[in-house]
Amino acid sequence: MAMEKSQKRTDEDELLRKMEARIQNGNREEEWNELKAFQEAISGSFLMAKVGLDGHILAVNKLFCEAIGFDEAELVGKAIHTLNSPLVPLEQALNLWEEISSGNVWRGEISKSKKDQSLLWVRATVVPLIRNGEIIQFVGIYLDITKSKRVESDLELFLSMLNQSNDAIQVADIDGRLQYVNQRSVDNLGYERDELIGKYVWEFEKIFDGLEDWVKHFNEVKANPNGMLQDGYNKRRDGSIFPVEVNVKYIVIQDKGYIIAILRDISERQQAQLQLMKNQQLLNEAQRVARISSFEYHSRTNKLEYSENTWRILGLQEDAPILLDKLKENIHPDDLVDLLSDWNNVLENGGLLDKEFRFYDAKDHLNYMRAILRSYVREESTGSRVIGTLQNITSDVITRNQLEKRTRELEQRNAELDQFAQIVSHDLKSPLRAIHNLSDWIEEGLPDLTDENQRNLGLLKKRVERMENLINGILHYSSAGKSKNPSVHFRAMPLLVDLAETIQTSYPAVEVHIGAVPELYCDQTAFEQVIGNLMSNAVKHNSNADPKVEVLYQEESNAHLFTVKDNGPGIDPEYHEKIFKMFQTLLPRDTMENTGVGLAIVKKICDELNWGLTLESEPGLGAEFRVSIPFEPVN
Amino acid sequence: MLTTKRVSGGHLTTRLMTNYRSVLLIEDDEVDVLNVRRAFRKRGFTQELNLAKDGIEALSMLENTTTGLPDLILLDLNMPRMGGFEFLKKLKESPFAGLDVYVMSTSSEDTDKDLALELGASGYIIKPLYTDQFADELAQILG
Repeated sequence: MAMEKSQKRTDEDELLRKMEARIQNGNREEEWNELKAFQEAISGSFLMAKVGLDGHILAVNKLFCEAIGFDEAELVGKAIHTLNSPLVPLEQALNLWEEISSGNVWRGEISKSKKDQSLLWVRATVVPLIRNGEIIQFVGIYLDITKSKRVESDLELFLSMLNQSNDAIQVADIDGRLQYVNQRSVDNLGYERDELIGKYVWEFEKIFDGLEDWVKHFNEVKANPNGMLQDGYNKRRDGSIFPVEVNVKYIVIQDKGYIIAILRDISERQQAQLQLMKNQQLLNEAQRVARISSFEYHSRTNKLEYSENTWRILGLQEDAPILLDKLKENIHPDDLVDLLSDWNNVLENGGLLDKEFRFYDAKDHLNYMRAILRSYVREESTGSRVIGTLQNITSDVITRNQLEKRTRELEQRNAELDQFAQIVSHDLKSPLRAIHNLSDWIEEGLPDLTDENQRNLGLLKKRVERMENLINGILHYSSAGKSKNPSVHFRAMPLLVDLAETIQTSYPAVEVHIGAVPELYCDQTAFEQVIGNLMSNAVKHNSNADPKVEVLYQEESNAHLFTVKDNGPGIDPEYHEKIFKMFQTLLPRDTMENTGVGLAIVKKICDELNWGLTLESEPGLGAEFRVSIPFEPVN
Repeated sequence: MLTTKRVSGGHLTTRLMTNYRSVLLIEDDEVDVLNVRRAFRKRGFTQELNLAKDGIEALSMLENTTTGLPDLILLDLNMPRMGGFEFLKKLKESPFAGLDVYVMSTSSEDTDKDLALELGASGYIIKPLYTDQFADELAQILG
């Protein structure tokens, strides 16, 4: 590259060529004076050095000394190659020496190190002096090109910077034609550089309508010496569009005005901004729907930051700044002291706070709030940071209160109902017994009753007895499952044997089979009532010639399963639900004295204790009642 | 809490008390009074039988007696003005606290029986449908 540059035709070159010609033409006497004059002229314009065959400096002129920074005494006797800068490639140095040693003139740009270590760039012409066909010494004639060299390298650096820039840089003239584009512009727009140069700006910049619009813009930028920042959209060669942020400035180059534009592709930034906005919107929306807001507090700065929904949650005027100290005025006085003490506690010690309090909104309406927050204590100097959420739980509290009230009412009503059943039953029983007694006495007092009267009186007493059974049934049913006995460990086998024996006392023909049963942990009384009732139910209705009842046990994954099986008449699936209802009997009471309370009691107890109760039966195939008692954790 | 005089199934299981001479029946139901009187007559109980319609009348009779206190009180539970439980409480605090009281009630609830015994009753009879059964139970007490 340096050799090429030296081919440039300049005045200095011309002069050198002339001098060379003369030197090579020989050592003629008549030209000596002319030559001498030349030498003086050259010596006044160029740096010069005479170097011996061994490379040591023999003489230097004044300009050389001034340029290199050493004085003559320091230079004479020094090997000239020691003045080469570290930048001089070895090949260049060897090439120089080879050329001149062969008697050729060497031309080129070479850098030297000055005394102060800075660079001295020279365009050099080194001429071997030949006498009688022998090289006797060399003469170097140098032109200081340090300054232009610097400009050149600056320019190179600048161009490389322009092309490596992440921003597109474009220069356009007043006609809107591109004069310069950097590499990024080429990459961004998808055109070749040659295609872009000379292109009209509005062909790819969407915000300009055409020449007129451009000129207007041009003048506007011209009027703003500090430049302007604007957003736009660039169109690629393939027609796709991307957003850009454009920094424009008016510049003058050689008396002509241009606009230089620095364009930044902001697709990603815009995307991120859009995503951020969407997230923010989503958060706000979600907080609105969930009726929740979030906040952050820094104790050192006493700064409270809060989400948009906070105004809505607190029922305060929107956009009015929310200040912690002012909030206190809205908190119900009965809740304030407690809340403040808890708040100060977590501020100081950190930790979690979950607190409900009452709060008056902007319209002075009372609201119930729930704040859940966590405090992070840092060093004393930085204070603590609190993040938390706020919920308006007014409607929840109202629902909760209503539910509590309703539960209380229900409990009271249940208690009243129980009491009612008890009272009614007792009050009904007295006159009933009186009727029974009186009919007894009438029968005693009338020994000569006709058979018909005798039978009627018997029926009368039977009905009274049935009524008493029904009343007792109501009493049993109303108290069943109520007592909530604690669960106990007990051996079920002896208990089942007892139940079987009791049944066999009344129904000696019945065969009862009891399978292997483990120790149980549950409400023993309830177990006795449920299985006892199912067993007696299985027996009572059994019309089989060889009545059988089986009680079988099976352990399931999470429950004890008991099956009470009979070989009785079976129950039509149509009645499977009905039989568990109070006073429900499937046969006329005259055929079968039965209150219809037993299964209702079984069902009630199972429901109260969450025991499973199912029935499998077909007419003629007996019935299987299954009770599933969930395992309970033992205390 | 409970006295040792436990009853079960309406049948007295305690030691029989004998030699009662005078019985006070506190009962508002006419048929029940009749029931007791018939049992006395049919079983030939010789004790003197006096009658009060409720707790208040009974207390006043005890306080104002000229013929002496009864050996045994037969007490109904459901009565107007002052029922059986309240009478038992009052009796306990009165000078007549040592008197033998047997409760006769329609209620077959264990809670009623337990409360009566806790309040100092000596026994508890569930009034049965059958008059003969009732007479049997009285006979157990009166001998």
